[in-house]
Amino acid sequence: MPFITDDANMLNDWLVAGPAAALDNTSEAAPRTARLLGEVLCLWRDAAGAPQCRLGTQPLAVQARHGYLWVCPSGQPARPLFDFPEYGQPGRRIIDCGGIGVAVSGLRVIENFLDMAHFPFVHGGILGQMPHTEVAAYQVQVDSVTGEIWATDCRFWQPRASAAHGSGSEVIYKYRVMQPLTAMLYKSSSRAGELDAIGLFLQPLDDEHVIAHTLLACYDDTSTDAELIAFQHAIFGQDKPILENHAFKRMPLEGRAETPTRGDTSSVTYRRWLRERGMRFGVRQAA
Amino acid sequence: MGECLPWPTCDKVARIMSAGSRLSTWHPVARAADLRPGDNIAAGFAQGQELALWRSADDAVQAWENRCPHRSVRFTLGQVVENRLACAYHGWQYAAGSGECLHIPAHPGMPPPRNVCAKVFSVAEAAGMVWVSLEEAAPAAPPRDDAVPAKWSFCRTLTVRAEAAVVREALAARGFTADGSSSAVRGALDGIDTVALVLDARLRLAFIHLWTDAAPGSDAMKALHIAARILRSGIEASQPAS
Repeated sequence: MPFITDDANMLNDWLVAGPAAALDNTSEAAPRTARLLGEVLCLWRDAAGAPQCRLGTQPLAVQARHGYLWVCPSGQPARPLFDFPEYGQPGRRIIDCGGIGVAVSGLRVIENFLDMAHFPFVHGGILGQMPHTEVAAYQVQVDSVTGEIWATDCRFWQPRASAAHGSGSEVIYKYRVMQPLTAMLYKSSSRAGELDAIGLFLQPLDDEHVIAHTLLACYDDTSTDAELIAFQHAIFGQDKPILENHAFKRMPLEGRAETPTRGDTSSVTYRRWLRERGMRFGVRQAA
Repeated sequence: MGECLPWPTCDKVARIMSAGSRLSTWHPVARAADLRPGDNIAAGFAQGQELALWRSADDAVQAWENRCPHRSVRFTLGQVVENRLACAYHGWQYAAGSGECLHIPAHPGMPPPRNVCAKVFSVAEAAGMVWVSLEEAAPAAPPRDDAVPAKWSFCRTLTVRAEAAVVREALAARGFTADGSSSAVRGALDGIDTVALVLDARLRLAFIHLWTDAAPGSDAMKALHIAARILRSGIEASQPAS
C-alpha cells in the first residue's frame, strides 16, 4: 500500500486535494500534481469534464464538489462526502481564499479553528479584545445521523468580526466538524437572520504538515474579493506561528500531557470523537 | 553545508537522552545579563530539554520547560507580566517560582485548577551565567562563582553543530584545560586568554560561552571573535556528514 499511513480514517475517506478550478487547462498528458499522505498525485479533467486522478499508474477515486477536489485513497469511502447546503445558496458569495501550508498536525489546526478563547490574544483588535476574554458556556453535540460534531450557542465579543463589520459587537458562532480534517464555522453576517459560512478543508501532506484551504460562503455587498481574502489571510497569518510552535506537533489524545479547562468543550469533544474512531494519523503516541 | 539539521521533537530527544544518564550537573544555558527583569523570554536548551528562560519583575531567574500545559505551545512566544509568564495562545498566566497557573482569562471568575502547573527546573546564577539542573533534586553544591575570573568580559556564545564531548575534545586539543573544580575550561585562542563554558544543548548541537580578559571593543576582542569562528569551522569540518 502506498501512502504514509494505514489509518482507515484517512484512507477510507474523501480528502481534499486542492481547488477544482486548478484543473482548468489540464489533461492526462499535462496534469496538475498535488501532495497527499506522502505521495504526489496527478489530477486532470478529461474530455467529458470529469476529474481524474492517478498515483503512478494506479487510478484513484476523485470527485469535484463544493469547489474542491476530493480523493479517496483506498477507493472505498466509509461514507459519502459531507453536505454543504450553503455552497449553492443564491445571494452568497463563494470565495476560495487559497491554500496555506502549516507545519503541524491537521488535528491541531481544526482544534484551533473551533477555539474562541484565543481570540483576544492571537487576534486582538479583530476577533477579540481585552478585557473581553470570557468564554460563556455553549453546547456541543455529536449528530446521531451524520456523526458530525456541532457546537452551538457560542458567543464572543468582537471589535471587528469580519471585513463587513465595522464596530464591536457580540457575535454568534456555530461550529461543525464533518471529518477529522474538515470543519465549518457559521457566524453573524451583514444580512439579518443569515449566517456567513467559512469552510476549513485540510489537505494532509503527512502527520505534521497540511495545506489549509479556506472557503467563504458569505453575504457581503461592499467588500471586494481581495479584501475578503486579505481578511482571512490576516487571521490565518496570526494563527500560523502559534500552530507551528506546539512543542508536540502531533496531538495527544490520551493521558495528561495537556490540560483542558471548562471552555474547551469543543476541543474535549473533538479529541474524544477522534479517540472513539481510533484516529492515529497526526496523533502523538502516549509516552 | 548550509543544510538544516533535523530538529527532533524534544520528547524524542528526552527519550534518547534518558537512555544514557543525565549527569547530575549544572548546565550553563545563557548569559545572566541577557535575561532582563520583567521583560524578555529566551529559548534555551540543555541535553535536549527545550527551556523558556526569563526573569521575574522582582529579579528571580526562571528556567521552565518550554511548553504550556494547556496545549503545549512554546512559552517563548508568550510574555512576562510582572512576576508571571503569560502564554501567547490563551493568555494563561503562571507564577514565577512555582509555575502554578494563577489566571485563565476565558474563565476570569474561576480559580484555575490546582493541577495546572508549568514544569519548573532548578536554576542558579553564578559567574555571570544562568545555570540549570534537569534533576528532580538540584546538585547539592551551587554552581561555582569562580568559573569565570572576576572582571572578565563576555565575548559571545558560539553554537556548534557537534556533540558537546567532541567540542570538549577539540578545546583540549587546542590546549584548554579544566581547573578541576568547575565545568569551565581555560586556554587561549589566537593568543587571547579565554574561558570556555561548554553546554550540551541537544543532539549534535553544543553551545560554547566564551569569556575573556580582553576588553570590550579592543583589538584583542575583535581577534577573539574571529578565532571563535575559526574554532567552530574547525570542529564542524571534522564532523562526519549527517
